[in-house]
Amino acid sequence: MAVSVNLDLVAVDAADAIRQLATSLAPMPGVVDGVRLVADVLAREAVLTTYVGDGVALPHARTDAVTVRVVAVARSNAGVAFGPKGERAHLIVLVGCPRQDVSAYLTFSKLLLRRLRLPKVRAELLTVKEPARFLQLLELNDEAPAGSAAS
Amino acid sequence: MNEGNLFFLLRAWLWLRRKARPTDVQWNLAMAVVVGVMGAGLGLLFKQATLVLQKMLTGGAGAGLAAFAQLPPWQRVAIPTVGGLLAGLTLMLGEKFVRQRPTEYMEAITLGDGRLPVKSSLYRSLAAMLSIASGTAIGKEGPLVQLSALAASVLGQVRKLPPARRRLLLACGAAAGVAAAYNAPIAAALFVSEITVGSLAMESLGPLIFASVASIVTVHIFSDASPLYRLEHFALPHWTELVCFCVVGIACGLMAALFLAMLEQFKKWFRKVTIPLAGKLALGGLLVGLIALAHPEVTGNGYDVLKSLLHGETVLRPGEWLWQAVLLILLARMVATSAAFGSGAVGGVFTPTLVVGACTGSLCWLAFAQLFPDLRIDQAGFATVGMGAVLAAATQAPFMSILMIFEMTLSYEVMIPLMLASVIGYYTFRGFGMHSLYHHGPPDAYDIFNRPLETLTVADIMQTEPRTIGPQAGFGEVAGQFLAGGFDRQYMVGPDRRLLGVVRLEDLAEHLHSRALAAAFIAGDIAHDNPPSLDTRTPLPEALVLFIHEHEDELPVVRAGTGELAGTLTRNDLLLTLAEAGKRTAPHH
Repeated sequence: MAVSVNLDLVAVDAADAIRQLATSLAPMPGVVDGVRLVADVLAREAVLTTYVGDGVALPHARTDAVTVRVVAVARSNAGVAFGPKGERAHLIVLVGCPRQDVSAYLTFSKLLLRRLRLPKVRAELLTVKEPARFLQLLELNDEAPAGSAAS
Repeated sequence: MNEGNLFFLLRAWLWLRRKARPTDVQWNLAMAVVVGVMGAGLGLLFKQATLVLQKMLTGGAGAGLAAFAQLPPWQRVAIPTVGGLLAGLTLMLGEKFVRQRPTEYMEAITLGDGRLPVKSSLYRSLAAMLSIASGTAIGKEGPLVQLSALAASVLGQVRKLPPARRRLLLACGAAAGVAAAYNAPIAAALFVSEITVGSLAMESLGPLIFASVASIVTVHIFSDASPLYRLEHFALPHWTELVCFCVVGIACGLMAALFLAMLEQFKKWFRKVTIPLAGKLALGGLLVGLIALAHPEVTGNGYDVLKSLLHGETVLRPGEWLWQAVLLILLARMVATSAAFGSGAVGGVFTPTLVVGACTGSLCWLAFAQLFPDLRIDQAGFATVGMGAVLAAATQAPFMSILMIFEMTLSYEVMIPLMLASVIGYYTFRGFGMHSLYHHGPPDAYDIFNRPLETLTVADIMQTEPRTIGPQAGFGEVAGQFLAGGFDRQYMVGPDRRLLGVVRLEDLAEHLHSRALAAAFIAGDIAHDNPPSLDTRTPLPEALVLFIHEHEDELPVVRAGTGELAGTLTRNDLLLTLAEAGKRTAPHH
């Protein structure tokens, strides 16, 4: 699995955030079509928001653009308008998953969301400076960052 | 309902299903009880309604043979004629306005897929009530059983049961009806099992017994619980007397063959008469009425005649039965019932068959009593054994017949000669190579179970109306459908009904603890893409291969070419169809 981290995201809206996160994944191994990845996650977001509350959003898609699971995590101090009522997301985790693997996709998303529901974890995620620690808090650390954006 | 509640409910429901999920067998048994109670209730209603109608038609003279015999002669002719006319008109109107092929319950269980047409069954029941109430020489139990089976069939269709379980439920309805009609729950379960299902496997017999018991208990709550024809004083026969019963068995087998041949012959004659159905039924009623002028005993199903034969008293005039009287009643009854039945009247021939048997047995007794003055067994005993033997011969179901007579008379002593004569009657009749009372003519081509296996495709046996969901449906909608349905698959289709994917309940089950997950996912996220599917034109053996290969219990069926979702097929239905079709075609090859 490939992971990218951006702890200082600045985006005007959800679509912008998704575009930035997905694009950051484009050069990674396992991504066969970066443009398609962006389009698929955006299309999925258009159907139903992936804002899950508590300032957390989980834009995601099952897509043929990837051959392995890819994850891009980001933090936005200002927040990005994500929810149906304009709720702002501060923690955004984008997941791209190969189409065939429904069960692993759900299991992975579930574990991720379970971490993100813990207030303590969220509080630390919002303040932590080290990308490695950020990933550790999300229990993504064993999947070493394949590339990391500015932090 | 908000998402959270739905989510909680689905979780609770899944937990319950896992912990306390009733097996198919338990579910069938529970449904059998419901069907049993319904069947008994309908039976009681039918009997009451017929009585009321009878009082109306006879101008308040009341029910039963004695009342009919007291009517002036012209009424004895007129009432069955008018009754036949009315019943015929009902049938004609029904056929005109209800364009539905009527199906008898026997046929629906043995040949069909467990579906009884509702409207045609109802107007035929009304016609049957008119025929029975007007004294036509036909059994009232057949229509009663049909109604009970109809209720079961409706239940099966409302619950959207697959064909095999619909058939079992329908059989339960029939058993409940028979139990209520004859006060004979054991025989009822065996009757349906032996004649219609054709096996005594516990899978079907268990629910049938439950239905019978539920039915008879219901009848006992609301009405008289005594056996139909209780026998008094019956000595265990001496071994020499058993020889006499062998003769009774042979005589009964012959008489059953004669009776069934007459039924067929009258049917043929009436088919040649080219008048409207109402005219035919009126003609049948007129024939019955004319015979009733001399012998009122022929009217009705014959219950009163049976009682008097079993109690050794003549029915209308006091005194002993003379052989001439018995013979006349036997012949008159056979002609009258054949006329009524042949004219197309709706009704049963079960009790009339018993009358034929009781008369035959009585005639044998009258002969033996002359030959052996120290014969210890009385006329009632012979009449009883005769009933069983003719029934066993005509229905070709000896077990059911033996038990039915036992339950009707509750005499254990009668069992030994009864068993002997019933089996002899059965074999005697079989020697003629005739069809039994419950044989169904050449099977219809429409019936899938009778088509050559090679011509059957998935489209013939699939369930239409698959559970579909749009790819954009939220988790709440998916969960709601699973909660409401009781199924394990939902088929995701596009706006053009093309099959896009399958949502599996077990996928959700693993992830139900994360409420946030539900908030972020839609059907499209959790559906399996490109699911294995069958084509409407797939031959059945090929479908079986896919089932084995995919380890699935249910597969979607798509229309050839378009990819449009047409229905679903379960492995169970496929196997049952293959087994059934194999059973039907085997003897011909």
